[in-house]
Amino acid sequence: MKLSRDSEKLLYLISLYTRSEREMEKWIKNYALWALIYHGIVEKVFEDYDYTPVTVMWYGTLRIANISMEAEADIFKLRREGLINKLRLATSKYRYITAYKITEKGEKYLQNIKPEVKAEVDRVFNPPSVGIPDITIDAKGNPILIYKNGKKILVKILYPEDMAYSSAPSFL
Amino acid sequence: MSLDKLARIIFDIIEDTSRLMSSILSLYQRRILNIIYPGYKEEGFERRKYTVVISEKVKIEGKELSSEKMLDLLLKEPYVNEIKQIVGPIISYAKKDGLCLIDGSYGLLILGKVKNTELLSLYASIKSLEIFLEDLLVYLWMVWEKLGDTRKIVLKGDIKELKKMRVQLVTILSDFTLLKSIMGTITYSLDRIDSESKSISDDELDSLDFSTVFHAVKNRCRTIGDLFESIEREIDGLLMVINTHIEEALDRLNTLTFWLSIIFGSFGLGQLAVAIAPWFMGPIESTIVSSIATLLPIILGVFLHFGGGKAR
Repeated sequence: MKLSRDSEKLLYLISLYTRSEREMEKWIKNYALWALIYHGIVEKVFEDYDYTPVTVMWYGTLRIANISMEAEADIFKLRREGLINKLRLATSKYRYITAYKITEKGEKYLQNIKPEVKAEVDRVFNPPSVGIPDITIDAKGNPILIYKNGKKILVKILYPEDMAYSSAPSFL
Repeated sequence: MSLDKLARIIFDIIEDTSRLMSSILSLYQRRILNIIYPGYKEEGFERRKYTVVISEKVKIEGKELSSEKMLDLLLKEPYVNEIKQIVGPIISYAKKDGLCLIDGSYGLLILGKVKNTELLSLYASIKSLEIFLEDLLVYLWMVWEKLGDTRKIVLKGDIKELKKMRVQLVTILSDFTLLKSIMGTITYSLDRIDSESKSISDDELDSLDFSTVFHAVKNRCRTIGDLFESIEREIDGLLMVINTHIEEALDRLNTLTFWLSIIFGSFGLGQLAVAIAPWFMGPIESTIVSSIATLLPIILGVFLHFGGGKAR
């Protein structure tokens, strides 16, 4: 099994946030992962991913978010290969969200990836002597990365770009 | 135009059309949308929409694809991820008479020359209705869940909580009555779509499976109608339980007032007896009458509190 460089980075990113601590199992919700992937694309961690605006369930409401379909396809591949587990959760508002967690097989796979792949992810998501930033959602639903040194980064995943277009009416 | 750019334009149009529609919607229509899609008017919040994109040609790296190869190539990586940006997760695809159709959860991509767009417009209408009914159903389940919680509180019978619950139920009922009123409009739209679809015979777009989607939407409408009735009955039932609790509380208050009036009346009579007894009796008899007159209302009160009140 050989994964693409971006898939390996994605797997490593998931592992940073979902490694079990003592007996505590940690999972990452899909919208938190989308935010990390978007930030990774903006910070050029991922080489071949791009994003597009999509209507998604975001923290209980329907929002337009910049989602990477390439990353979604890679998540599917990682799941199929048994490198991550997927958990489907029902929200109190009768919508479904998913959560992901790295598997033992995934951890083993990561032991053999090139150090520079990890280093590229660590540059943004696990800076040396700073550590993994927490991801929180503010009152407006925006994800914020909070680093242990006090640095905060607003991830603009909920800000799709405006495009110029012209339209003409069509009566059907 | 690249698929990336197209995806961005589509979502810009989705946002812009929401703003455009909001300016021409009536207060009634806006309130209905706000019930199902809370906060949809604010920027960044959206309601789900269905998009239809027709593209006569497809080019990959400057080379135009033939209709035979088109679907096979576009449904493979890396192109399939780009297609998903336009239509969402792919549900089905079909190839017929030079047309390629890729149907996703929030859009349809048609590749080739479409001669008749009428059925396509009807299909988009029915898919939009399907999405709206899905979201309406989600809202109804949420109401059902809320009613379950309300029922637990109501059955405890705490008067303070009952008042809050009554306000909550009346608010739900008001939203609910509004939503129920749209079922007539939806049924009318379905009838119109049905009659219009019968007058169209378009072999090109048969592969859209229009009639299956149409009947699924009709069945969903029926389910929602039944759910409306059940929820309405549940709300009525809960309001009746609340009213019964409040009536019982009022009844207890009436009983208390009744006994208090008897006690105070007998106390008054006793005081009168104490005042006039020395005129007719000796000091010992007078003291006995005074004591009885003082003790009688107290004994009566205690008796009524522990025995008489319950009997009533």
